[in-house]
Amino acid sequence: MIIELRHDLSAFREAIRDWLSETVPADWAERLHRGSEKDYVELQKWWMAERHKQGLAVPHWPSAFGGADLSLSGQIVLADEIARARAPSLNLFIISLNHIPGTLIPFGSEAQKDRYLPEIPRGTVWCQGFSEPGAGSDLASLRCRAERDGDHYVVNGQKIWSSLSRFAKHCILLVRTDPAAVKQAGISFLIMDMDTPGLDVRPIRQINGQSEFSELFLTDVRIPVTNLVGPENGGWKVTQATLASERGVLWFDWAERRRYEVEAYYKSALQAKAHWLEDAQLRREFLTLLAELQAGRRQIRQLLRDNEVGHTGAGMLSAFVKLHDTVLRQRIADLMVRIDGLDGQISCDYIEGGPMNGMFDFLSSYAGTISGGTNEIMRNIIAERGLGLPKG
Amino acid sequence: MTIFLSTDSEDLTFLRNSIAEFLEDACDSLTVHEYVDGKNNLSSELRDQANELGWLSIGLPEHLGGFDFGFRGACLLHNELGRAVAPGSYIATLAAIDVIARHGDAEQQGTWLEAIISGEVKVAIAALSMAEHVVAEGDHIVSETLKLLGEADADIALIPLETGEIAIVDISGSERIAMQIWDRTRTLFEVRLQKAPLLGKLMTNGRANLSLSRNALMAVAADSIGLGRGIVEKTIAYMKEREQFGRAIGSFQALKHRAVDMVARIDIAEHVLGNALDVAESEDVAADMWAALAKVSATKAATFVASDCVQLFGGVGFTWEYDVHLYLKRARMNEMLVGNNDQLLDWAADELAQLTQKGHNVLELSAI
Repeated sequence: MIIELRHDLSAFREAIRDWLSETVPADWAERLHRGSEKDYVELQKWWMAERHKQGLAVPHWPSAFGGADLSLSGQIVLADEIARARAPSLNLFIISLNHIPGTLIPFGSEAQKDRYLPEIPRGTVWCQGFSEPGAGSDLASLRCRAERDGDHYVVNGQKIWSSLSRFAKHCILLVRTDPAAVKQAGISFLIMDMDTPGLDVRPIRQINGQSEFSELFLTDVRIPVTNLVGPENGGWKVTQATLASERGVLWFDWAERRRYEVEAYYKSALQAKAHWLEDAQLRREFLTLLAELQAGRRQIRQLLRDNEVGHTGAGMLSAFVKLHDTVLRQRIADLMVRIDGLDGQISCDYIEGGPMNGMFDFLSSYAGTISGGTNEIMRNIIAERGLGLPKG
Repeated sequence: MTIFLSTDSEDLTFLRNSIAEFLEDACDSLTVHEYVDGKNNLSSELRDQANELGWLSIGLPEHLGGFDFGFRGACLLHNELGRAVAPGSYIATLAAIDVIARHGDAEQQGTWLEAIISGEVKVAIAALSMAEHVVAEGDHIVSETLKLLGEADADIALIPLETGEIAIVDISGSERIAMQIWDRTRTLFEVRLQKAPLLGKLMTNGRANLSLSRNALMAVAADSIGLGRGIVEKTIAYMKEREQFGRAIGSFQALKHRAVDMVARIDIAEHVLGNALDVAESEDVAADMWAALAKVSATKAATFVASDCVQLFGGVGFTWEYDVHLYLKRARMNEMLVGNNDQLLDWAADELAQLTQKGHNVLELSAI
């Protein structure tokens, strides 16, 4: 197994590189392009299984829970090689791989850890039921109600922006267990099986035509009390751990993939002698964005280094990374839309791994600037906690 | 509270703090204002201190008597000088020192380095684009006038020749016109070069002239980042104390967001410069392209920041008495130095195309 080489990073890197070239079919993106959503899910599960064979499914987890305690540098080597090879992401498993261990290891019961963690490397998809129509940036105002009935909670309410939940087996769910308490103090953190009666999952058709997100409608959904994570009414603290579980490797992965996409875009423009290369204004904009792309990659590397040594500034830096990276993605896509002109207005289906598409990426980029704390919320956080400006 | 996150190594942090502490004392706001109004001699006092403290040798290798921090060290000094909006001609001086150390022969190094560092010989460089050059015939220059950046009484100038070499020109006897510029912390002058004696040439490859502008570009970038940092720190401090409607204006969300955007913008520009410094250190083929991009990115950021700071200071930002105009003027001056930003982007675009066609990758970074 490749993971056994982790203590020698250059051997580790080389083994990953060889394995990727042997394992990942060169035409996976093309095949996805012709295929259906089911093919996408199958590809993701196949990819998870292949990584698991090499110990590369959950290498970053503690060894006590099936991981390999892979250092941050090791994780970066892995992400770097995967992006370089333009191999598939593990998008379907983002919650499973990061947020579930980040939550259950510190707060889950022994039974919960034993039951849920080992099945993740075998391909279990998790989703998140946090936001509600009335609780977006102000998440703590959530209203989804859970009432105790013997050894169960009976849950009623609505969740929104639940990513890839149509394919998920379990959901981490925030509910209000004490409506009388002040906002944060009345929230509990539950695990819900996605096949529980009373749960209705309805896809949301997004501005880009796809339906990655769904709404969850909960009507008298019965969840065992044993599925409570942390104490009753103590869910807000658990949530903070969930939201802090990703420490920069995902940003690294996305930024590195974007680097290769932009490079490929530019090379094919050069080869095709694209008209925009003769347009001084567009060229200037491209060079400006290229510089900022590189700056963003360096900023993310700094975040990773700071996280590795436990630097106190890392929290603020991750908010800066979020601001820069999401807006940069939008600006690159915006430039491509203008380069494409009328031709770029022809709609298309986009599938992961394909060439960049201006309009699709431009529309999709708002998922970045809005989700995970809107960029406006990020600015408030930086202003108050980083710059010391007074609360409004 | 530190507003800007540090990317410095431990050694550099120590160096930065010592420079910053010195400038806080010797080059505080009041003293700079007095200098700008012609009431003190801050520029030459700082220059003497810089010599005593060894600042100008920061980047030189040990065998030439330096501290071996490379151009990164010089840029750190520019950073702090910009942050304090300190007067002086360090861009010209440090760029010249580095170029002579890198491309001069032993004799040239012996003749010039110590003399420039001590201030015995004052140096200027061409202020405008890197495409600009002069023509030499025999032992003198035949071109006419040129705008130079440096001390008004500079003795020598380093100027690119049309052959791709750098001329060391004796301008001590040349007629010059000092130009009254908005940025009073700097000196720009025009000199009649005709018949000025050619004292020597620095040369390596056909792009030797670019290494001068590369240094100047990174110096301008570092100075601009320093300007941005300095004025943002002052503005955020002001936003915490200035009250309207019964509360600090920094508590208003609309203004908070602008404060964050300013810090973010400077941070990104700093990373572009970091990239330029790394590739310059390894003499990467893309070093000149990245220096150009760093200059564009940093000077635009500094102007964006300084102009928003005028607005955030409100009425007092419009006065001569407050600091913000000093930063804004120097930021705008920096935009114009060593080639305007559009020209630099056009040049960088050509470089990118050529390098890519030759199979070079300009985005390579180590994983961590």
